[in-house]
Amino acid sequence: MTGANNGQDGPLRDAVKSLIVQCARLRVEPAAIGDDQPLFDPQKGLGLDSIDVLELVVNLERSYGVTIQDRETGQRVLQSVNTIVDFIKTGDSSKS
Amino acid sequence: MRKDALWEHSRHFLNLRPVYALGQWFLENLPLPVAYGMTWGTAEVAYRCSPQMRRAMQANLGHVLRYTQPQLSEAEVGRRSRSLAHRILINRGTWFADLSLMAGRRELDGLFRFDMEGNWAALQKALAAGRGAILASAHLGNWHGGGVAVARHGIPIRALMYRNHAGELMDRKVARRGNVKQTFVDADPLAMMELVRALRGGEVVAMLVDKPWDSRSIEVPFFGKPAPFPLGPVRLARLAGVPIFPAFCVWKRVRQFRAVLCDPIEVIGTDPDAAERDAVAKLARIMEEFIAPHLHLWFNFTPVWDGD
Repeated sequence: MTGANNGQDGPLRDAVKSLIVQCARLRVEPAAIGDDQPLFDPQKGLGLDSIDVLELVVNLERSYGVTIQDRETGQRVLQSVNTIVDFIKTGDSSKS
Repeated sequence: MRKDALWEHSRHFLNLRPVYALGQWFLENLPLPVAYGMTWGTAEVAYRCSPQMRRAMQANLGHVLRYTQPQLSEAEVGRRSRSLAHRILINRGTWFADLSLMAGRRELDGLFRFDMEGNWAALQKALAAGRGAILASAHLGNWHGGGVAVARHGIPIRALMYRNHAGELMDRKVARRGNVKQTFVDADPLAMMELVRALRGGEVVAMLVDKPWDSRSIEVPFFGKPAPFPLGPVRLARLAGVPIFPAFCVWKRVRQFRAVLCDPIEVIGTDPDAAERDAVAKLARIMEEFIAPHLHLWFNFTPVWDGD
């Protein structure tokens, strides 16, 4: 369980889901995305690809002022909605 | 992107590491005229033993010839396509020889010459303003040489790469020797982040955009018929806020090249999707301008248009 699983984070989590849907042009309702659903796995997750990631990273930066500097940070942060929410809240995904 | 897309595509009886290593050894150790002669012979064999490749090239060439020279009869289109396909394979052999020399230990100063033409001032201006830039090229002439030429002018450059059976090893050597950084993208969805970081750090990122492999693409008119172009370069340019410079490194004569930089394309507009489509269409038009007079240097062994 991550620190993002907290009722107070609901609006932020919903906003992140909407952002993912918008960036990846997904044909699903944001609410249908699970909090811990993997972002990349095409079978169990959302199947995002490199272009979606690009759009998502830039929009997270624009919307929340958080910068994912490198691949390593990206690997930690871009696992699920919860890890993104944690990163936005703390600016440090290593606590996830 | 499907994992290993280019890996599968690059499967060929000559595209093997031992073949590359042997070829490089000959070019490294034999007098250049002999080594280039052997490369010519190998290219001739490759042409004769690669019917699928020949068919793809002839289909592409036939399409371009019909579009650019509508007065040609079908028989003439067929004859020219076959002749050009043969010439392309022979030139590909020379390309291999040039690349082997660039990867090897021979002194390159005086061996290769790159004449810089076009709007290099615009690139310098973008870099001076702290912006990176994307160089978008085609499988035309010696694109690796173009990267080395850019690096020689003190411009920080990174090439976007895919793994393939043998060429990758030589590409790495050329890049290392030429001071060109590389980012291998393949199926890593986070690879693009390295490119964004590089662009924001003021680097130039070079990539080939005339083969979309199986990445996401946009179809735009290309020699009169819709053809897929990769979405990645324009999306990257838009999101990183950098211009795209179409760039080509074409042969003048043996080991002499023109490194041409075209005017920049900015991917901007209130509708991002429309801006990307516009930019790809512009890019395709510039590709046409360069490819049409250099068909003998267009190393595109993949069918570009469906149904041709």
